[in-house]
Amino acid sequence: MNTLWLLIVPIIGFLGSVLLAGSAKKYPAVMKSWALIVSLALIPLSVVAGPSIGAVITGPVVFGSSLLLGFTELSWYFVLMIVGITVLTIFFSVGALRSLTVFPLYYGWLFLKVMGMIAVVLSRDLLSFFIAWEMMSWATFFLMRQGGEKAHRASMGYLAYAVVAGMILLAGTLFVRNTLGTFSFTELSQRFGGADTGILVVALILMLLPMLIEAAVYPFHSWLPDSYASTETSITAYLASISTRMGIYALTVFLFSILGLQVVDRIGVSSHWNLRMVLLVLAALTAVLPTFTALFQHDAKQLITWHSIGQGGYMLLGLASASALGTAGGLFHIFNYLTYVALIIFSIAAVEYRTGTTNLNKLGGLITKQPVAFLGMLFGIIGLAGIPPMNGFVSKWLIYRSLILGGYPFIALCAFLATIGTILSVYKLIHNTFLGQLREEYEGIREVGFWMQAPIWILMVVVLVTGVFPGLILQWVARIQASLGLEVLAYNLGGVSPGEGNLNMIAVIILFLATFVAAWLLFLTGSRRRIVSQYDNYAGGHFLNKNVPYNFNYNFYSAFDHIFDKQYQRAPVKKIERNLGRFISTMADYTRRIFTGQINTYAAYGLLAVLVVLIVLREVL
Amino acid sequence: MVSPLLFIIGPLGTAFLMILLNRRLVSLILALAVTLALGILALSWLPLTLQAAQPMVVASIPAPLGIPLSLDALGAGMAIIVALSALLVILYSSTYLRNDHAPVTYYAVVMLLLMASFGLVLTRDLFNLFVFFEILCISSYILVAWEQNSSALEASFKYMVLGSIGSTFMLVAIALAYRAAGSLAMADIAKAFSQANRGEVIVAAVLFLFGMGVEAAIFPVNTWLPDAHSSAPSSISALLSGFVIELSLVVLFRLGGTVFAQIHLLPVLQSIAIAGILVGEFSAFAQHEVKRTLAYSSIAQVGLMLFALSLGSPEGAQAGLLQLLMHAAAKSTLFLVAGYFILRTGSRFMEDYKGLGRRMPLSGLFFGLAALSLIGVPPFFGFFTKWGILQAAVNLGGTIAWIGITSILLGTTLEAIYLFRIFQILYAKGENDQVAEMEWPAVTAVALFVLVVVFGYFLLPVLTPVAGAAANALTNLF
Repeated sequence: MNTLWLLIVPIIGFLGSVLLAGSAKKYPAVMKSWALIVSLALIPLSVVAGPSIGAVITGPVVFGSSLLLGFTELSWYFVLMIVGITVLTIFFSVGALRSLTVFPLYYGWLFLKVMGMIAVVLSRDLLSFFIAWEMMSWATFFLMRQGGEKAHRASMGYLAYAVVAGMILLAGTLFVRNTLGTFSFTELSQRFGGADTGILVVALILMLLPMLIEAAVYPFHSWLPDSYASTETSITAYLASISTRMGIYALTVFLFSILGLQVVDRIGVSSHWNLRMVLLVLAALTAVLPTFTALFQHDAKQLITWHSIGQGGYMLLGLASASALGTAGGLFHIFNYLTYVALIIFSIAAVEYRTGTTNLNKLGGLITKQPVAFLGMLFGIIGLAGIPPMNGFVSKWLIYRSLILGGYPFIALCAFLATIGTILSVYKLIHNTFLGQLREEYEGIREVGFWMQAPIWILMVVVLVTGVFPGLILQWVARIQASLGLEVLAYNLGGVSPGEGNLNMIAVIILFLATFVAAWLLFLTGSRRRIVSQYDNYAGGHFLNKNVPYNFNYNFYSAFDHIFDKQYQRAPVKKIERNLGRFISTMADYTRRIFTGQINTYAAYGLLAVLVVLIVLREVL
Repeated sequence: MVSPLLFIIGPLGTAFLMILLNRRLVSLILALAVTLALGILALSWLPLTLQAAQPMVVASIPAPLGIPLSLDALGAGMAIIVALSALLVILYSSTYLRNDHAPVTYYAVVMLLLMASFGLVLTRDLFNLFVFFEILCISSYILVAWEQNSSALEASFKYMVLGSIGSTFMLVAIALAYRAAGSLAMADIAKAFSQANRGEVIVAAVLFLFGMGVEAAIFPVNTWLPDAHSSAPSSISALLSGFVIELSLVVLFRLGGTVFAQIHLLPVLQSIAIAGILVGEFSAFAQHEVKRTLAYSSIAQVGLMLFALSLGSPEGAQAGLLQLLMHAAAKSTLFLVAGYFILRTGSRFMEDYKGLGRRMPLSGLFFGLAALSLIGVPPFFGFFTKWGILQAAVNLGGTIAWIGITSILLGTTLEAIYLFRIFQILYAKGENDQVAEMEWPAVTAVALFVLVVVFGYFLLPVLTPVAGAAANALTNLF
């Protein structure tokens, strides 16, 4: 029963928001309070749902099959993450949305999406999975439309990909049902074991493609940056943190829960060149290529959303390597990524709230004015880059180790390469926003208020604590691994037990703190510091003034334009996309010319039709 | 029980009464009353027809000289759809055509259209079929030309020429049938054809297919549709796209399933259907006018219905008939809302509708809901009907079925994009600042259509057996 409430409460939230939408312009506080209450109500519901893992509820009968809903360990993991990020986003938006005039249905679409996502993770059969997936995709479309003209245009790109993915999923669901006779996940996992390889391959292609599209795996990733970056920034945070991960959820369930590792390994040319290798290569491409594209971005949101794609690649790398370390790393990375990307984008939003821009060429020096946003972004990028002591380090370490131990040296190399790209680009992000010279127009700004600071502080604490004590989350991950029939990671509170790899984050943080203390003592023994105005400075033979920016924020990494071939920046996938669009428009144009507008042609069509059909039926000639 | 003859006599008599009295308000009230009454009549006959078809004797003249009419599940179901759609559209017309030049004639011709529609589902005789068919066509020609501007007149003219060609084909087919059977009753012809020379039957069947097919808007004789449905007043577009073309399709199918039963035309029909779907969706994608887009979409949807019916399985036919109901409701909504967009902005082009959705929130909402159902997004009605068709196709198997499935999926993708292109424009930052919402009668009418579209899932337990019985009736005359 708890399970159903998790779906009903967001629907109530949606309906309430729709009813309140009219009054939202004049009394935004009412709408915001409603959103807060509903989201907070979700917390106890999701926590209480844990014990019902394994129970399956039979829903209404549709087309002769019952819809099955139920919790698994993986579902619960996702539900808690969904509810957590929803609460934090709503908190943040209470402060960030100055007025609801522009987006009266903001919370409505958000709740509808929450319902869709929860329905997806609760589905225990393909039919309800498909229905939930479609509802989730369309709710995402309506949510990401909010942000003005740019968001409207960009969301159409998402819609095209989402509908194509939905249609392929529909074909796959029908195919599976037709060949294996059932929708239910448990029954499918039994029947796939005995299925013919040909059927397996077709089913896989049809089922995996939509999940890869949703997860923005290369080359199906080009819808993501524009659509995520053009929307309102708190929505960007929400989408980047959890939305794309639904594709990863689907892949995990399909590959490990329904198919099972033995079946997956059967598919391929040899034991090394198999389906998992295909996924690993795609994941490696996803990790490397978008990450370096992020370097060239001048908009903070574009930069970080390109990373969404790349980090998804890491998760897929971990999962596809299918070892205890790998799958643990992949699953843990989902959680970590959610925390630090939300943190980074919330900081970007806080800066945008005060300065009105996310253009990296126009910001700088805000560290003294918005120190909380700076700290948030700092923790976030340390996590994203995978540097201890934050949580990102642990999951990335697990993934690297599994790739190397699993015998995939080139893929591991790609993973390292991607980290280099990540570090470089996030440095650009934090440097251009917070470091360097403060511009004159930003002299008067101050830090953001409680509603926007609270989520940042909470996430900073989570990022640090789960970094130092990864065992807190790893215990969950281990349970998930067990429930999916995978090898379980030997973890402890501080990391991984000896034998598997012996990672002890507690020792790391102690070392870190010791070094920090030592450095600080050294700092104290130095001479007294004197704080001067930034203009009381001297560089390269000149004194500085307000008119001459002395740091190199503008077009940061311009040197890369020379290093990277122009071809790289031309985004071949985007070109294919554009050509495909143009092809369809041309086809449409030619097709409509069948309707010439002239009655003599129309009459001729009629006569020809009769003749042709008679000929086909062999009555004439 | 009240005689089903009222279905024919009622609208006919009302039409004459309206012309005699010549008062606008009275005509409107009569029209609403008659359609409501006929809807209730159809509902009251429905339970009986689910068990057995109800033949009617007209003027106490028995067969074979008399007029054979029969009300079965299919007839009752279609009659409900026709009557209630007409009721809502007439309600909408009361405000949409407030400044019309000849309102009384309008309602009278709509009554004739209704009479013809009811007659088509009741008839069991080729002569009646032809008569009612002609009345249907001619009333359509008049209504398409209603606005009397150059595009409407041109569209009506093209429709008339093609309709005449179609009628000619039908006449030749009827002549062939009479030659084989010596009588025009469908039962007699079915018996005669089952023993006749296969060649004769095929020629008659194909001529009939493309004769009645003009009105049913099958490829390639649907070329009149884009012009006609976009130039007609939106209430008429809703009626035509909503039930007139589907009605013709269903009657065509019933004939195929009974009179021409021994011919294996199904693969031909499936191919025609697939062509219709692809041509319709791709052409719709290229349009800039809202009503033309919706008209091409109707072509595609008719293709979808034809595909479902021509799968040859009971579940396919059932799904096709449910799709018919859904399309009637959703397409009517879209046309009716588009009608007000045109009325308020004075333009037929989408680009001029920027921001209309904000100023006319109900219209925008209805447009969005109907679009979602048409595309087939769960949890709306359209999802269940489309899934039913796809499921039936998968169960059938075979190359054509899978080509059909692929076309339907491709078509759905295109539909989503071109319908939501319009939706985005409706909610863009717009210049349409002083635009008012639809008046309440129009809002009520559209809202009732939207209720079907949104809550159709909850009606399924009732609708499915009815559709099943109706599907059954497609292959039985009595």
